[in-house]
Amino acid sequence: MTGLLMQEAPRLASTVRLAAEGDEAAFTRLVVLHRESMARVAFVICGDAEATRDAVQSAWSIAWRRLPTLRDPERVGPWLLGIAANEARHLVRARRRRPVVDISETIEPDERTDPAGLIGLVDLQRALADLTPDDRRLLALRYVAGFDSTEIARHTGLSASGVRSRLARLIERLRTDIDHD
Amino acid sequence: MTDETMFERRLANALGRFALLAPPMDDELVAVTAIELGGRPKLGRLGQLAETLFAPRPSGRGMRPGYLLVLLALLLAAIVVATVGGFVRRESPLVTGRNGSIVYSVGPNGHQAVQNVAIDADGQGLHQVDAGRCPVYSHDGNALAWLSYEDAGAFLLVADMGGGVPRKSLLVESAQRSVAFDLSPDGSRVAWLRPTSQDPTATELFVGPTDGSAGTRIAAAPSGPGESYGSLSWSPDGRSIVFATYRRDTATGGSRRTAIEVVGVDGSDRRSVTTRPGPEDVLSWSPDSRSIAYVGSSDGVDSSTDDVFVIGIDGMGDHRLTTSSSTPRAPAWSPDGGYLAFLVSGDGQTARLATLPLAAPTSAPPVSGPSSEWFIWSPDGSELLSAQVLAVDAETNRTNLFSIDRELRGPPVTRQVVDGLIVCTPSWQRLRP
Repeated sequence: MTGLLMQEAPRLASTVRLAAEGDEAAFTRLVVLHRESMARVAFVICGDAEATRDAVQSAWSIAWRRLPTLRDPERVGPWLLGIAANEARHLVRARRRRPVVDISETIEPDERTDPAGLIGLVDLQRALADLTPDDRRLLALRYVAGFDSTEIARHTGLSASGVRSRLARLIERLRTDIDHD
Repeated sequence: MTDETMFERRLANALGRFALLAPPMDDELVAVTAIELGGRPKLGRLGQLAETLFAPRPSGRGMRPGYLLVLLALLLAAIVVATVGGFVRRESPLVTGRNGSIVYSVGPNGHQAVQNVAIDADGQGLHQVDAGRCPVYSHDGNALAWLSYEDAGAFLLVADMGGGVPRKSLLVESAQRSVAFDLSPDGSRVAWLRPTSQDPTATELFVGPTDGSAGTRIAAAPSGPGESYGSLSWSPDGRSIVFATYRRDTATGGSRRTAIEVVGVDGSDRRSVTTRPGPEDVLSWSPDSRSIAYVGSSDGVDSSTDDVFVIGIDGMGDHRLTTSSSTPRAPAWSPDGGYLAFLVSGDGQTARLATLPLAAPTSAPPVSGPSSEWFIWSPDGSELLSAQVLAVDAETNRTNLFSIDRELRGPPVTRQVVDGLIVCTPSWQRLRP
């Protein structure tokens, strides 16, 4: 596994460099590799499919333009996720509305609630809809992108300690909203 | 485990499942749309230079009163000098000149399209330049050139600084990637790498006039598997072109240089300069067109560290100039030939400027300067222009465009603070002394 990873890193870096030079095939390879994870992050922030598609598309346009400025090609993944999160946040704020799409039809019945104590997705969606786009961005970057507080701070302009305290308040609020309903 | 920690785990699990509901998308369509919307080089309207190239910038620092008149006077003087001097003089070796305007492309914050702007030599004035992305001045400063990608073709546009409609030449009919090119010193000809019809990853070296006439192949594609050309550069005396052969490693996707060659601009007298391996990097002509500065493997073995070398174009006198533990790249000779500048970086560190006086003993270490994204020499050779980028947040960048003396003694002097990123290395116009 380690050997595979060591081979993948330079290959990815090479793909990023080619894309930065204007190689459209290399850029398409990056889209194939990272579009899905970007869409997941954006979906948590936007809450509906249409806005998510718009945010992801906008994020890739920005990425195409700014790839030549990416200093470390091997960090292209977090860089792209950060752009997607910020685009989703911008888009939701610009449209000035909360995600109101009913996802209950898209969720399998056994996913709505779980007897093992899992949070039901309908409850989660309702709780997310009550949060600001900024707060949903924090949650998406922490729990979907898997960023630590330092990485989140880099993408949001907050301090790392500010990220930690804000996340702690968010978790407490969600616990109250979801578990006490 | 506390309730808070338990809830955080459940929340992470639920968010992960919720994120799986993200809609599918067509990756290829996403890529094509991004490229279209993201701002590829496009042909701009460029008619009379005085009216369009340096239009006043509508906001920001604005155009100072009288600046345009001064600029027009300088352009008129350049036209007269060029007309009197004639073609032969323009092809003669160019050493130092006066510092003209600096043109660069900015990717502004806020998702706006890339803009080309020009500032004068002291950093004052700020004017929009109506050209494609990443325009470059010819070595003599009399022409401005850029690539335009239209209908899958890659075109070169060359605007004479004296005005008139830009000349347009088709370089590649179906461009799958960016096209490497370099202008002759007077901007009348261009050398470029054109993919072969059999294998689009293999390229041939072409030379042609910039008036739209057909070019001539002066070097066929390299014969080795996975080999391609790169790093082409036209000599200051206008007679030769240096280029490198790179071999792609299919396992890693990376490329290493396997050879440096020089060929006459008419395809004659092609010869090998060195086979010392090295990284993908620029090759820099000495101002007298007799030597090449390059980065190569320290002991000639591909796995060793890299250093800066200088070699005669006859392949003689190859000698190493650095023995640094840091990795050098992008060597560039000063216009008067007295210094070499390059970037150095250690593992994971930001690159820093470095210069080396060539008259000093070879054991003298290079002088290291401030961190730098890139650099260019001023045409008079007295200073270097460079940039540092401050990431304000994930979407907001601020670029400090600064100059510093060639001995890197003084503090950097800010020329402009750019809200956004400078997306390619600027070009500094050379004016005749």
